[in-house]
Amino acid sequence: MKSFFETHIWPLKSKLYRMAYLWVKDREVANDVLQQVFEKAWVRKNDLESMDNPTAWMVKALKNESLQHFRSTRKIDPLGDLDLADATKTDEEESVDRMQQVLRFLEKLPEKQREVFHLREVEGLAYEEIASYLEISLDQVKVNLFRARQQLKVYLIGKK
Amino acid sequence: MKEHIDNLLEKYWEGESTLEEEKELRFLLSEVQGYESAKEFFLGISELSQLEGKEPVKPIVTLPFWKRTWLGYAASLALFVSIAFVVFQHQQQKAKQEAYEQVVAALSLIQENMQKGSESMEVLRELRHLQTPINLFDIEQ
Repeated sequence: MKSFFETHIWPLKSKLYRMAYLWVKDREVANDVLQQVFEKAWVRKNDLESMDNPTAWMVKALKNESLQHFRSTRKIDPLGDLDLADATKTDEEESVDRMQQVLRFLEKLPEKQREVFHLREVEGLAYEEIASYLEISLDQVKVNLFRARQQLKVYLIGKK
Repeated sequence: MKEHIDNLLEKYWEGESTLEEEKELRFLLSEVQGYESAKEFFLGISELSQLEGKEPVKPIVTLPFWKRTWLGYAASLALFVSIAFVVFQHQQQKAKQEAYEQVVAALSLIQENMQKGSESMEVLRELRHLQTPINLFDIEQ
């Protein structure tokens, strides 16, 4: 029989990885951050099982770990080194450019809008799931998503 | 189709579209001419959503020292109890065997003595022939 950790925490790894990537903008660092968070979660697996919302705990832990990374490296704007190595590695420069464009847009958004937009557009989550991930109300999800999309509209018009 | 895309886009900007409509919008945008900036942006989002990291290493179970110590004690106790049980069983078996052998020895001693007793009684059996001449010649007492 699979444990609670395997059924509820382990499947979050891809989403959490992309969230970490959104914050740290470096795939290697995102991997390290994710590893740290999973190790912390493992130590507290019994606590997680008794929590109402273990996913929100994981998101918070991920955010804290990413912030800690910034504090230790003092890297404020890491977009400059955004996976250019990947372009040569994977030979998909155009794809990397498009992802960079999305990340640059997300960088301009306030934190909450950025998180809500990411969870909706990249992870394809329903409003209720986003509210649960971020521990905010449904209305806050809708308002933040609306504002982020309005910003996107302006951004895309500006690009024409 | 353009009109349908515009409607979906309008709902999208207003935050009123469902997940299914958003999926449909992305698909339609990838199929039609125009909408280049939106098309490119949504493609970037779709590529971002397929990004996978390295599989995290599953944490190894490390028990705190006191737990390890107690586990050691528990394992030693279990081993001791198991050995004690096996020794006890062996002793029991041995005692049963000894008792059986003693009973068998006692029984064979009894049988031997019975044999001796039976042999000494054989002489008495000869005495029954003393009456034979009297019976034969019908001698009056």
